[in-house]
Amino acid sequence: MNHIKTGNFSTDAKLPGRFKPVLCLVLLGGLLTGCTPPQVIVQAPQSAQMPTRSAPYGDIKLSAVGYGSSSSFEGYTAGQKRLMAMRASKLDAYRSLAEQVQGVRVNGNSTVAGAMVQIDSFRVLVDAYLRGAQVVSVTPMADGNYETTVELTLDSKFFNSAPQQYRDFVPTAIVGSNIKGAVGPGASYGTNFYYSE
Amino acid sequence: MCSVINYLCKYGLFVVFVSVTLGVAQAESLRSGLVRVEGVAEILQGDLSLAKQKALSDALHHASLVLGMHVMAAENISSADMVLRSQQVRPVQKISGFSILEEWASGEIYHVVISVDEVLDESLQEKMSRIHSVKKKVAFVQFDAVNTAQWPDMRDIYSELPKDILNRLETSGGILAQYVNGVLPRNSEASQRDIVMQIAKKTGSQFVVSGLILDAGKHVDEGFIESIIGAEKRLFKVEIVMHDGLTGAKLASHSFEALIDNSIDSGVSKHFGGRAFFSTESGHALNSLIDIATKDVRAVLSCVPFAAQVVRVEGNNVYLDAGAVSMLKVGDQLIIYSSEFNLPVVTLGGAMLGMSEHPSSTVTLVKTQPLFSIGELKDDAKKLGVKPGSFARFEFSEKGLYSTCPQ
Repeated sequence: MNHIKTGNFSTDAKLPGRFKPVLCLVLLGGLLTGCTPPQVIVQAPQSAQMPTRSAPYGDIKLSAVGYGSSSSFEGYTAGQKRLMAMRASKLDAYRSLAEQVQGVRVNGNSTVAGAMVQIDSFRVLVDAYLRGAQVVSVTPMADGNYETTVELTLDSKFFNSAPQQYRDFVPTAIVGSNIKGAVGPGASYGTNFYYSE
Repeated sequence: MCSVINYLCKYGLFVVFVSVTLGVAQAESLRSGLVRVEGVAEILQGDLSLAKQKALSDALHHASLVLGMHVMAAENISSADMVLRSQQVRPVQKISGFSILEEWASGEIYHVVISVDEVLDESLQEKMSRIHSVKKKVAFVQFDAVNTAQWPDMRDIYSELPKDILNRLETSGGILAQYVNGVLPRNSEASQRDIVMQIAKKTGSQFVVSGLILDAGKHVDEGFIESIIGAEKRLFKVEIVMHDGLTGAKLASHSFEALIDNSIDSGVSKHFGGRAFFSTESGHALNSLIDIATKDVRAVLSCVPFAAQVVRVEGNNVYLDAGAVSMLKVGDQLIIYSSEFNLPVVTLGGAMLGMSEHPSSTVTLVKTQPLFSIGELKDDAKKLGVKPGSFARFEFSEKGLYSTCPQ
């Protein structure tokens, strides 16, 4: 976030695009008024300088694609195998959508020996609740595999109900301009007996 | 297909793009709780009624998913280009009212379109707490006692106390428990581990729970007046130990106690765990103790991911010793772990520490029956090193990824 200090602009300071026309107008106004006495610029409180975030977003549609391969289980007929592949692709798409909406937790693990990375592995974890995910298309592919696309529409209620720290972060990431990463402490994860994390 | 599009247009719903001619469960609209979904099933041997039933069940399943689902997944990605995944998707919303809008057969596929009109009104917490994703198998062994002379009035407590805990665990869901006669040896940890693993193997259990009754004696309160009037109290102290059946390792050991002011014996005639027993003062105190112990056992076991054993291998299919009763579903994905060497790792003293194992493949369940399930591997089981005795696990516990587990 750029902090704009009134009366003390530095050429190094990067102004958000929407402030540039305002600045031009102020400078032009200054030129036109010519001999008017210098105005006293009052330092505004810090909070008043922050760009407002009142409902800047409308409905957002998220989509995800999943794939399912044809089953080779001999106990099933060709039709059942096709249905199984569709089901698998649908579940894969739901998982992919959950990753987008809720985010993932990544645990990395590298083994280094003799200054060389021997094993580099990581785990990606997803735990999400989804409502309103709809199947948009199920497309057959080569070799009996299937591709499923699911969609989820998030409206402003979704963002308004999110905790403040996420509300500050989510819009910039989704709008796509000035994308910023966010890093925070992980929630207290359950211990996995079979893995020492 | 045309009839579906006509139908959608007729009801003024937005048309979803469907690029497959074979019927498929489609959520068509989600407006103020109303969902229209199509379910499909194959018509086997011309049995239309069975196909309709299956298609309806498919539609209801997908409608519940649209109304709310819980997705848990974990992917292990290594530099050796091996991607292994475990995943489960469970519907969260209960449907309380629906109607069949349309049904037809096209070729070998039966289609049913339903409209969900009513859902169970619950908060998200209520919905999530109702989900018991999978049921883990637990074996309870007979409890041991430090001083058997303290229990003249409750002779069957050694077997009835663990049975009572396992009954309460089963009732509250998420656990499949069974009782095993015999106690674990107290003198050696190594032999205890051995027996835990044997019991787990014999019963097909993931966990073994044992217990030790530490105290049940009568105590007189310290103090002048108490010593004169001889006000006796009875202390119940029980230690419950939870073991991992696969490795024999101790997961947790917690003790619970209850103090009873009036130490009148419960009476030999009263069967432990019965209504008459629990109506006595001792019974009342033990009832609360069992409740607390049950919750604790559940909390510890729910933090450990579900695991099932591979009991049979055929080509790239594996048979697991857990099925529909354990709440496994078709489409669930688990990671299979196989032992690297045939010899177990032992201590210098010769006590077994377990087998060295490695993740070898992802298994996707293609069929579930009450007591077993069939899964599909990406390659031949032999090539992947999967054999009877290998284990299939979810990489997450039902407590989710964000919960704190008791230590």
